[in-house]
Amino acid sequence: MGNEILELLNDEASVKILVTVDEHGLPHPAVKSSLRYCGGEVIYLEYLESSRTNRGMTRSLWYEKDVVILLARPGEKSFVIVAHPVRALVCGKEFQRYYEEVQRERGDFDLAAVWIMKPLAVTDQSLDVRVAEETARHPHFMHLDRLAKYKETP
Amino acid sequence: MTAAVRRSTLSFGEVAAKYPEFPRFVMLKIDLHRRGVYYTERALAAVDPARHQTGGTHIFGTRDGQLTYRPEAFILRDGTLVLTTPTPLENNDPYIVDQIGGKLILLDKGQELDEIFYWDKPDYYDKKTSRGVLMQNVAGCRPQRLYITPNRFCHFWSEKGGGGCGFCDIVNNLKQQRAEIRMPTRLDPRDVSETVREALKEKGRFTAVFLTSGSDFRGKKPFDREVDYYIEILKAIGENFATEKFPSQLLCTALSKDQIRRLHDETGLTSITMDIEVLNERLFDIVCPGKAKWIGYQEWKRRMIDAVDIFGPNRVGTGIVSGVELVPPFGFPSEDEALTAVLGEADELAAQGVGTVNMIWVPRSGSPLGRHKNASLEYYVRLAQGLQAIRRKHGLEIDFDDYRRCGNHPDSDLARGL
Repeated sequence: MGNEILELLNDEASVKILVTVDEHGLPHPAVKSSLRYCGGEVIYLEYLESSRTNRGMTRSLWYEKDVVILLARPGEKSFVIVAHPVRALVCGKEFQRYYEEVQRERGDFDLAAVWIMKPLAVTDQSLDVRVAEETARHPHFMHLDRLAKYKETP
Repeated sequence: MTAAVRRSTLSFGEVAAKYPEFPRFVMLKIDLHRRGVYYTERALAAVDPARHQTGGTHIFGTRDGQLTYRPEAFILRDGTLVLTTPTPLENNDPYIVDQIGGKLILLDKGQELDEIFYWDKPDYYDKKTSRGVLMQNVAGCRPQRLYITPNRFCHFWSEKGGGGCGFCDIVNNLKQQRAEIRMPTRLDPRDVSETVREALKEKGRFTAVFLTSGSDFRGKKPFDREVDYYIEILKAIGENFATEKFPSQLLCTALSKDQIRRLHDETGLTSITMDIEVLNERLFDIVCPGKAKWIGYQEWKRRMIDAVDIFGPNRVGTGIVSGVELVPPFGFPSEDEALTAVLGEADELAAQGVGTVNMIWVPRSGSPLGRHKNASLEYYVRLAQGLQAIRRKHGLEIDFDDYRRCGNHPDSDLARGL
């Protein structure tokens, strides 16, 4: 399932936006550079215990709701990853390894949780791909002037 | 044998269906505390003494009377801590922990529920202080909290004490700990300082220091000795921090305003909790005769409110041992009446800056009320919901006593998501 796309989570050139939903149903998007793909799992390092994303992730795990990751690449390429939170590491040796990694990379910095997610679906949302899809599957969705035999040149 | 308290007949599934907004993980934790847990031989075989934390150092005893060497507790997939004690199979219909396919699995009546994880042992646990005291006997721990019990003897159980709390087995547990694991009754501040220093070497392990002790009413003014000793211990802990204050919680007797001010001004302490145990004056007098004799219910409440003036809002709490308020013949006749009374008083306290958290009462054989049963799952769900709703209503936070720094309060577990 789109492993080559999931691997793009590990590329620094990617902009990664994690979208959770709060208790009122309002989506909360936030840029999360700590998202990564490893061993078939999507990993998210949460630095702030009180962040809206952390609360949203908790609720996703509690109520078995999926989250969405928007992965934007240079050149109008973008992908949507649907993932399901399966575990929150908040303590223990595995958590501590991530904590030490964060400290190595950011200096005196904290880590609140390591969220482990199972990727469920990957969709290529790049404009060129979507245009091709729509043209093929929905031929009615276009303006007729684009099909006119005699076009006025500007 | 005393009759069981009133229990609603709703099963876990029925309660979950009735309260769909209540997180299943927290509901499961409540039921695990309520009914207890039984480890199969295979589950016990999965315990690696070099890696996993095993029990024995906790201030209270176990349901089956056996102190060591089993998993201290475990954690659920969402990070919820479960602090239950091993329970005999024939007693109270406990949940089962088994090892299946290389994983630790929680079961109920043969049905596999979820994977659980034993706690990792901290690096300092098997080391000794320069005086030769095993560090785990100086500071026990939860996954992210250093748990220090400077004095394990509660003087309410002594001749002049007036009587210990009905749910408490602290003194009987201490006798067993002294005999089986050479647990010191009273800690030396030097041992505490050395242990904390060693614990802090482990990066990412701890987020809070916690202290609690048995009550000690001795001193020039009642409880001065308890306060002096806490200050001595807190200063010893503070030697290891670069900052004047450090994230910490003291669970103590309701002290006078002067005594609370000393704790605040002379140490690095950042929060204080004074467990009132039962939010009803009549029941407090029955269940906590020592506290009633030395302080009294209304004075206890007044002192907690005084503490808010000193520590500030969101830094003062109280705990209740939920379920004892239903014990016959003196308890509330119904769960509805108990909830109305308890939540009403918790609301009054919250309006004045004091947050209330609940512990699920675990009837232990070494305590006077140990033969009774605790309340229904639905009661505990409604209580946890109610306490969290009260905190939200009054804008109170419970950071110092939440799912992570403590993990023994289902209501404050809710604060991370609701």
